[in-house]
Amino acid sequence: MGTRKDTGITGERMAEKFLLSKKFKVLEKNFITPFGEIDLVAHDGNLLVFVEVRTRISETFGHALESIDTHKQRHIVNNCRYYMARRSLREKYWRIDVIGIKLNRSLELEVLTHIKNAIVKY
Amino acid sequence: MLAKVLSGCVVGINAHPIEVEIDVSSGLPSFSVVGLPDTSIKESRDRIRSAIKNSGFAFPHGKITVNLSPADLKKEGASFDMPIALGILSAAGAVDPESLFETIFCGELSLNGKIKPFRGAFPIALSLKTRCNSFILPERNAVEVSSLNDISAYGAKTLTDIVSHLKGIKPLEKASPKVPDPKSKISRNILDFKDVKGQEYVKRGLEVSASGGHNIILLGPPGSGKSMLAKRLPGIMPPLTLKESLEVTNVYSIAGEASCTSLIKDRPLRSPHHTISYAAMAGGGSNPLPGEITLAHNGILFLDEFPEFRRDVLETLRQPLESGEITVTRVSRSLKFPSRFMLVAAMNPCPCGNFTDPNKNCNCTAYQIQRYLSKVSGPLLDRIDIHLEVPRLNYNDLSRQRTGEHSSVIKDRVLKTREIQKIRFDKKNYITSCNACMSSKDVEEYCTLSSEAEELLKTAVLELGISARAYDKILKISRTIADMDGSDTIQSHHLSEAVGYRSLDRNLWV
Repeated sequence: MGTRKDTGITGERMAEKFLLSKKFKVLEKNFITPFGEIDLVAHDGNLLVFVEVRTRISETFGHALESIDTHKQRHIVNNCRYYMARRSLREKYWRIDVIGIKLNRSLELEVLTHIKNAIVKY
Repeated sequence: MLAKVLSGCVVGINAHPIEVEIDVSSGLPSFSVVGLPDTSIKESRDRIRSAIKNSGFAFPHGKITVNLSPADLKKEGASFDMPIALGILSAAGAVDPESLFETIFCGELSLNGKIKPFRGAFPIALSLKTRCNSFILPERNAVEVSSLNDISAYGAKTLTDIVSHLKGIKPLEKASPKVPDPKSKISRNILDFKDVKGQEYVKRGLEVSASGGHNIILLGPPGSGKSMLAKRLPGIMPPLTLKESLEVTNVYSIAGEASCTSLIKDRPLRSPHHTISYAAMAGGGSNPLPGEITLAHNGILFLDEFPEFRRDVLETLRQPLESGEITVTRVSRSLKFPSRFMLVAAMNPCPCGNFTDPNKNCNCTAYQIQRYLSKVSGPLLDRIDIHLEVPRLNYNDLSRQRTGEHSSVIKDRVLKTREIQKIRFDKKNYITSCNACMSSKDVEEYCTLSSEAEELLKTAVLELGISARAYDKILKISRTIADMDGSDTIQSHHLSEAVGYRSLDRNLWV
């Protein structure tokens, strides 16, 4: 078992692999913004998709997806808005997906949940 | 996955059916309740989550939306915990959705999955039994409502119990009314008139008041036994009829004061302290709850130290004394509460209390006395039929070994008199059949005086300065006294006794 950072990076890699298998085109990885970081930016057909990846090994402190509270949701939306502005993509349709990943102790994939359009933009 | 569970919510003294709809859809885990819930319902999220988890079921990961319909009615109370939890379990597949049909669910959950009783189960069962007659409730509430006809109430201890009931693994037992423990009946403190020495005149007055349902005020120096006598009044009142009993149980269930194991059979006695606020007396709150006068419905409202009550509190009694109900209006809604009670008031004749006492000096000035008495307004006094002066007992009365008459003997006489009145007013279809409720037309019809009595009344009116409003009262009281005597017409001795009960009209001491 590695550090928290290892867990996160492993999860993000798995998410990327999953998206590629679903015919997503990954544009960016770990895009840094003043508000934080966007884990993955991808194209699903014509649609721009921002992906937040959450990885957990133990569920003692709750499910991976539950860790995205309203505060975090607002951050994610801000990140996406920043990205749109930075790339001058104002007219493009976009959505935010969330991927929750459960790993076992030796960092092997147990469950992967993909929620499309998980966060409503307001 | 959608689930629908039927529940109920108390509004005033009735209940509304509430449909609890639960939708579990995919999305980020969230739990929101819509449909005008109050804080205690919003907080139910945390209780439900823990209760489901600690009962050994899986809490679904997804977007949970709970809707309480009708959406425009404000809902309150923790009794929605159980229906919401069952809806979630059903939407998650732990319970068959069809097993939730045709049953009303209410109950509060604790974090460990136990089901706790809530206020207002009785009105929910009473109002909603026409819609659906099967109820699953917390154990105590199930016993409380089981005395109602044609309903089946099942009491549940834990959430797991309900799930196994719905799955048909282990059905819950139908609750039945608890037969009151005979031991507790003895310990239940019903005070007896036999404990009161002397004061035969006052006891007689109280018997008249109980027989005819007359409001009564007791005047006397401190320590003369006003409160002692008034507290024994419930012991000689007739028992509640079934309809009255339902009404009383209903009100007490809403007020959360019911330790109900079955219907309430004894007439309630409420004796609020004189510092009581207007809202506590009349009923109030932004979501109005019944006040003392409603809790005294079909029973006795005893106000000790009558003039010490706040003026506005006393004046609120005027309308309920007249109409037997009170309308409480707040911004959100206006509600009617029943309040048909018998008023028993006790007061001193002056601030120091010794004014009518022949053996003690009263230091109050005439102005002080007048001010003290004027705290009780004329219109209010107008609604009180019998005024009794309670004298201080002298040594001979106190030292006498003889005890008074037993309450049970007096009660038998009261019941007989009430029976006469019941027959008299049966065809009139009145809500209460007692002489105190007669209209002036009834007074004319039923209060026929003998010629001798008529002569006496004429003298009384002329010489004692009896007002027109007191005239009707005297006739009503004499009707009751005649009934106690088993006499059809009112004789002169009935009338003279009645005149004796109007001491405040005679202005003898101010």
